[in-house]
Amino acid sequence: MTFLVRHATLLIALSAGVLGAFGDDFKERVQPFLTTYCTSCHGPEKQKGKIRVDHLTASMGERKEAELWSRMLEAIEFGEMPSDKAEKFPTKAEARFVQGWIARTLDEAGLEVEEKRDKEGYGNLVSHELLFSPAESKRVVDVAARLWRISPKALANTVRGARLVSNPFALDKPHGNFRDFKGKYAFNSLMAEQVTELALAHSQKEAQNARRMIVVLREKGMSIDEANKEAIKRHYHHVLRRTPTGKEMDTLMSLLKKVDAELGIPRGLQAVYAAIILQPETLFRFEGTGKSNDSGLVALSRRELPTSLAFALTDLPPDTNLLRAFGNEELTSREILRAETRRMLDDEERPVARNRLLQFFQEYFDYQKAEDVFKDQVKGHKHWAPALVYDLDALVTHILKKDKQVLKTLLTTPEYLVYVNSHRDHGNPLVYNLPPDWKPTPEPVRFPKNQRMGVLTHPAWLVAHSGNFDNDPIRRGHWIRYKLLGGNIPDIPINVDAKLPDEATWTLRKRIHVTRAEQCYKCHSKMNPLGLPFELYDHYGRFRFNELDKPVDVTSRIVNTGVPGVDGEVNGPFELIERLANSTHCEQVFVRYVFRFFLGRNETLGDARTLQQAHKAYVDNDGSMEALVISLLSSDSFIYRAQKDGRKTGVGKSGKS
Amino acid sequence: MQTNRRRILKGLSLGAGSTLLSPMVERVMANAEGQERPPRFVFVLQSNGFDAVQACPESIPFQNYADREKFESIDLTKHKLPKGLAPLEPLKGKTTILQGLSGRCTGGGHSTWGGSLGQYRISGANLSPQSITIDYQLGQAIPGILPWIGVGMASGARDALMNITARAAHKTMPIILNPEKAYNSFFSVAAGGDREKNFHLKRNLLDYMVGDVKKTRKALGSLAGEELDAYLSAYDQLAARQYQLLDNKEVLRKSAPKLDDRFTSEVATKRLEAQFELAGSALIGGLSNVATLTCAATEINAQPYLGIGVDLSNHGFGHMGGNKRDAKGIPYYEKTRGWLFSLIAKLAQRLEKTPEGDGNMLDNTIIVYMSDAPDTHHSTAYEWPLAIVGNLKGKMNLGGRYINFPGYGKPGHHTVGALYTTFLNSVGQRQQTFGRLDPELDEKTMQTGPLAQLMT
Repeated sequence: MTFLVRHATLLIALSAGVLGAFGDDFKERVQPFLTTYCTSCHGPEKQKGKIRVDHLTASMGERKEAELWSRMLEAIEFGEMPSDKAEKFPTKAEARFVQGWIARTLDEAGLEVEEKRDKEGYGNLVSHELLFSPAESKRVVDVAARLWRISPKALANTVRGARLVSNPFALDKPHGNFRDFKGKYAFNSLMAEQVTELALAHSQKEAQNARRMIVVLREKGMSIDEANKEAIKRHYHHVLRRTPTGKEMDTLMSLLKKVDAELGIPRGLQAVYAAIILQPETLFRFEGTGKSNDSGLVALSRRELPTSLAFALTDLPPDTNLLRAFGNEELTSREILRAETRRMLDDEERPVARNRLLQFFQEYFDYQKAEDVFKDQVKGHKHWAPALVYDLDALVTHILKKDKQVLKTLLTTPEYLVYVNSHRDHGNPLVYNLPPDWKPTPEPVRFPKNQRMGVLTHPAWLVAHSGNFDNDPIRRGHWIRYKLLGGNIPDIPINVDAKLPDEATWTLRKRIHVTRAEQCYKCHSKMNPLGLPFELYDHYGRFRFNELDKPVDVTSRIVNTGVPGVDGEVNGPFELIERLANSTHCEQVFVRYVFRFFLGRNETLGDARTLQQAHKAYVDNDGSMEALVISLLSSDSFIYRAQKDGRKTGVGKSGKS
Repeated sequence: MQTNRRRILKGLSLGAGSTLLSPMVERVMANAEGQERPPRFVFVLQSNGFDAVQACPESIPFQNYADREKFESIDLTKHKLPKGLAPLEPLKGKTTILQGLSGRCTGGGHSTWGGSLGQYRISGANLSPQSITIDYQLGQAIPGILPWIGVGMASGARDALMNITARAAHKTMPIILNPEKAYNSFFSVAAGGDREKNFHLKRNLLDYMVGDVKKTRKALGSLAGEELDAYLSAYDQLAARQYQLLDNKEVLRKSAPKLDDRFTSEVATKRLEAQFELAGSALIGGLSNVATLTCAATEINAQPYLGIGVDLSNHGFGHMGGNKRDAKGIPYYEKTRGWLFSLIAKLAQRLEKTPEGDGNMLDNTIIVYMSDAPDTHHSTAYEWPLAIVGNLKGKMNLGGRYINFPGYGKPGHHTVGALYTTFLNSVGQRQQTFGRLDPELDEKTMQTGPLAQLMT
């Protein structure tokens, strides 16, 4: 590695055989690609953005040249280039080939390329077309076993008392992503210190309680060592749900004696109790210890699966029912996973797993953020975001209960639950354009079709994707681009002044016009047109006819989504929403997000079969979220691990057949 | 010199049993022997913006950055400091106000998070650091017992603030927001009583943990992966640190702050007072030569200043404007900044009273005040006003100066990154640029350091 190539990403979906001698590929395929699609704007005559690519060579020896190649890789990958105004566009296969070639050659030249595909927020970089192509379903899982960090909530549930001490792992949820995701927790010595303090604080009380038990045991005739061992055993079981091995017990006892001798009783026991809490086994979950099968895959063992399933669906360790179920040798692991997932999701008495489904939608639609968007109070309108969030929670729960065409219903329902239960006293019916004296009802309220339609016109979502003083069509468009269209938008370039002019007499649409500047619109054309129809509401989420005393303009022209049936003129949000809700592509993108949430990582091409089967399960079961989750949690991607991580080489591993 | 060495050792009452020389002893001896002491750096980060107009004394006509054509250096001692900086009046000769450096590579906004100290833009997807930050890099170059400490205040009862300081890309160092926890981390070794016993309990536990994690690491082989390695190295570092603290127990005992109710106070501003106290002790004791102190950093919809009678949220007065002499928000900014500067002044004066070599500790210290929202509540980072106390024994041409750099993009303009390389050069690190570069500015003339105008 000679230096770091910044901001380049590596996405290669190469199939075997396309890689020949690199030099020849450059002459035969890469150079013609540049000549056909790039040099008219970035060649000898024109150098848009001061960039010229016609003189690039395959050597990548020079720093500036390598940086330009990596910048180009990113531009192709994010669909930034060729720009919308180009005359010719490469086919997806052509673009993929060139991406693969650049990434490969940079790698060959020993340049470190930042890998983004498995990073949070970049899952869409994996080609949707390939993930859902029947040919790719023959691939096998290419993600290796890994270590899992126990989530902060699960840790609090495992270690009694941890909840009372503030948690060092509290996670910030970046806008638009999932809270609990691979790679979220960087660990360093100051954090280790906080966990250690937490464990010590927790064990202090426990050790004092144990002293009482030890006194009783001593009275019953046990030696002090035996009594201490008994106390350790109990704590071990309590935290790790197993008995310590003889060796483990010996090292713990020597720690106890050492500390007691140095600092006095019961500090030895306190140290031992803390040590048990801090064992890697408490904070981490291990998997993939089994042997590989003929395809080189390792199946999770029957000891690992209940834990994996329990933490996928809840923040609790596996209960006895779950442990018992996996003891049944007559059923395959997959059968047990299916049955147990269903059992847990259907448990109405303890709906912890069901709540996980709600949590998915909270994070997917990202509407809890509404509570963080500070708004000035205006005369005659009380804005209280928690009530809105509560309402949308109620609506999602209501739709999940029916479990039919869940995504489509969420996007298109004309019915909301308004101020049900505890929040009724604080709600403000005006936000829904209901009369001020409107009386709350536990029944769904039906809105006119030209006023509200599903989550994207719900005040909670609108407020969550708004600013302090205005709507935020950019952020709304960004949400649709990522979460339904499965698109990508490059990180904001540093020379962008991301501010709108502060003109009180201009409509937001007019102010946002600054983003039409050529260097901005490459990216903003992917967001603004999708967000502008939602100008039908003000930034408190109220339906409106006028903006600044003139009829509000809610028209838009959707372009370059690459999704059949979505592009074209729209007049207001409803046409757009209906197109999205009727799109199979959008439904598949939704399945990808459900995958990421429940598997805690981004998908790779090795998950193509899992995703295709999950989508099929969803469709075959009339859009059932439960069927979708059951399919994912009993899929190959959930059960199997590759021996080596296929992603590291950038090439998904092909299946045997 | 031998006599000197012996006398100092005796003076510090270190017995014959002491085998390791503490950094403190080395420091004192180095001074006695005429060696150079490494300098110290303190970074103070406050949220909500530092408007250029508020950094300009009233008696100096204010110019917008876009109108500043030339480099200008004005004698600050002849002017009354702006109200928010008033507590520095007694230290005016050592104070510099820097106007006109830009940090567009951070993107600006309500907060640039780690961008302030790292000069990079955080991505929309997460707040993860993009590279090492200036405070940590300086700390690595001039380590004390520890390379760096970070303490601060949040309006609520949070334990740590992440993604402000980083030791490398995606490796954040937590700023400890709970003063009592910070005290336990750094000074419990010499606290006596139960607190000290708890230190030893922790030390024993950590030794055990390192062994235990190593065993697991070995048993898992290639399965363990980076995360367990990170866990192990974290415990390794932490266990080693306990022994470093133990080796320096006497020094730490002497320099430890007095634990009072401010360390456990529910009032945020009281907690920050405690943190300043603690950071001062850490610097004096040689625990670290670099400290980062954060004051409600990154917080917008919060009311961190209730304790000093400001009940508006940052957002509330941020929106009353701050970049005009008569903006309604200014009195709030002046009150909150003035309070923070009283803590900065107190810290500086404490260092000034502590002798070191032939002078005092402040002589060899630089304190940098900045906002994580560079220029204003909705910051643009076209300029990044800074207030600096100290000049590293005259190594830097700072103190008693009000400096205007030419506005963004004009000849002679420079970036905050270039200033950071100036700091790095002062500790012997010959680095030419820092952080991410701004493609709109010339690399060589605007973004490469050190800045000649600030060097002697």
